[in-house]
Amino acid sequence: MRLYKIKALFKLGVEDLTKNPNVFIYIIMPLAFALLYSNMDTLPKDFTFSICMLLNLSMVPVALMGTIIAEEKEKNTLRTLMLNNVKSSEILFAKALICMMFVLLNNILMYFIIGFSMDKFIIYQLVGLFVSFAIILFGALVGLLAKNQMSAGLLSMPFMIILMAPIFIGMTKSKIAEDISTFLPTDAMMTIFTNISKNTLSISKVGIPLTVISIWLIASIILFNIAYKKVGVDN
Amino acid sequence: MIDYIIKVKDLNITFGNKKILKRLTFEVNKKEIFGFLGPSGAGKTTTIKILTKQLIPESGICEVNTKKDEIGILSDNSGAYERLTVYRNLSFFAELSKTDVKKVEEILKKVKLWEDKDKKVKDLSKGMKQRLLLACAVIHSPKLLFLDEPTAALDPATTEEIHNLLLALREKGTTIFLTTHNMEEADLLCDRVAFLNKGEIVELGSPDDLKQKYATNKVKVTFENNEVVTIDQNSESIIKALNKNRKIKSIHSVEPNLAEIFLSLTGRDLK
Repeated sequence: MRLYKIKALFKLGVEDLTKNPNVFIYIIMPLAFALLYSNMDTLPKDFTFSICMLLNLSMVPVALMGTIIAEEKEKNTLRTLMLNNVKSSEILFAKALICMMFVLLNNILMYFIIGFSMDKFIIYQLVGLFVSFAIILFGALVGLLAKNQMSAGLLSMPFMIILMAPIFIGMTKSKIAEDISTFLPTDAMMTIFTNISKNTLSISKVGIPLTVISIWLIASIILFNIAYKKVGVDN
Repeated sequence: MIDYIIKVKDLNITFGNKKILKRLTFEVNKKEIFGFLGPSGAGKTTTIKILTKQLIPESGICEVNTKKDEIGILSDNSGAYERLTVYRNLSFFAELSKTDVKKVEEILKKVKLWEDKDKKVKDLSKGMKQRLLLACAVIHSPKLLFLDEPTAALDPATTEEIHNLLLALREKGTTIFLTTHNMEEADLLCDRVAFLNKGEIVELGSPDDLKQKYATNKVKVTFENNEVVTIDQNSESIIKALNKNRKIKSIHSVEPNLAEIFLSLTGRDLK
């Protein structure tokens, strides 16, 4: 990876994104939920923050990354970058950085909106960033598979619902659904958050959730590379 | 020492049941403008896509002897960031290739876009966008430049500017692989041309050599009263023309143009 290419891609990506009002709805929505939940005094703050973070991580990385990549593909700029000797890893890294920046910004704002205690601030943000990276890469995959921005929105919808599943599964009390849910990165994140909240954070408690997130990360890198190579050739 | 920058041998590709390229073989020498001429559907764009690794051929050898960073491409697959300005788009491509951003002004002036540098790409006309894409393709002074119908949507004045830019690039040592069906453009710019018809090269050579090769056995005689007659290039016909007691102003051999040569070889028009 060449840093000057990543820097150029990052700068241009941020500039382009700030001029694109369509993507701001995805960014604002989790903040709106945070405002809504912050006024519910009956819910504990660590639970409220975990739910808001789950919403943020289910929506923003997939929709934002999917839309950005799909637009690059639709407007032929992705092919132009490929022909200008930009590697898949450089595009992926630069775009993922942009998305992570917005995810992190949302996570920080939500933290303050909810008024959560500052002593757990860094650990929550670090876990959030780690999970968001795995999900962002799947968002990139959605973008590559989509024909245009509109189909990227449609394709990302079921994916977002699956990522939000831990919220609903908790309500169903179904053992099978709960077991399946443990394979989701968002469920793994919720498990880690529960342990942070209960002050029971240890390798034995979060080993499996960390493995789940790592598998998602590796799988998304492999799938993105396969899809990128396929997009690069016409036959 | 290798003199060629591109070497293609027995290249084949089929789409569905249609054979698009059939045992395509040619070489492109360093620092030349190589014209790849043919009507729509002849296989010109397919060849560029194979050379730039956007398509994988079924069989054959395809060598491009230069680094990926030293290649510039303008094709129908090229795109620009529409919400950003002309200047920002070009400065981005300069940053991507580690080119001095000062060069952006120089190139924008050459493609006559300097006065429109603050316009957003989405507000540009088709011709202006094509000029911007060309500027993006040449900002890093590539050693090898692929151009797929670069002047197709441009007005004559801009076309002339682009031609001058391409000739200047050749002078600086850039090899240009140009596809076009504009025969005047090919005649003006190309050191060598290849005629492509239904996926096969039917003729290859310099425009002058081809014109001589396919020259008809006729001469054009212009008399002092500006009367012009075309006669056979044998002494009998010339004596016959002179016998009419008219003074001859000039005699020129009649050479076919590239479009006529292509038509005579394939029976097809270049459009």
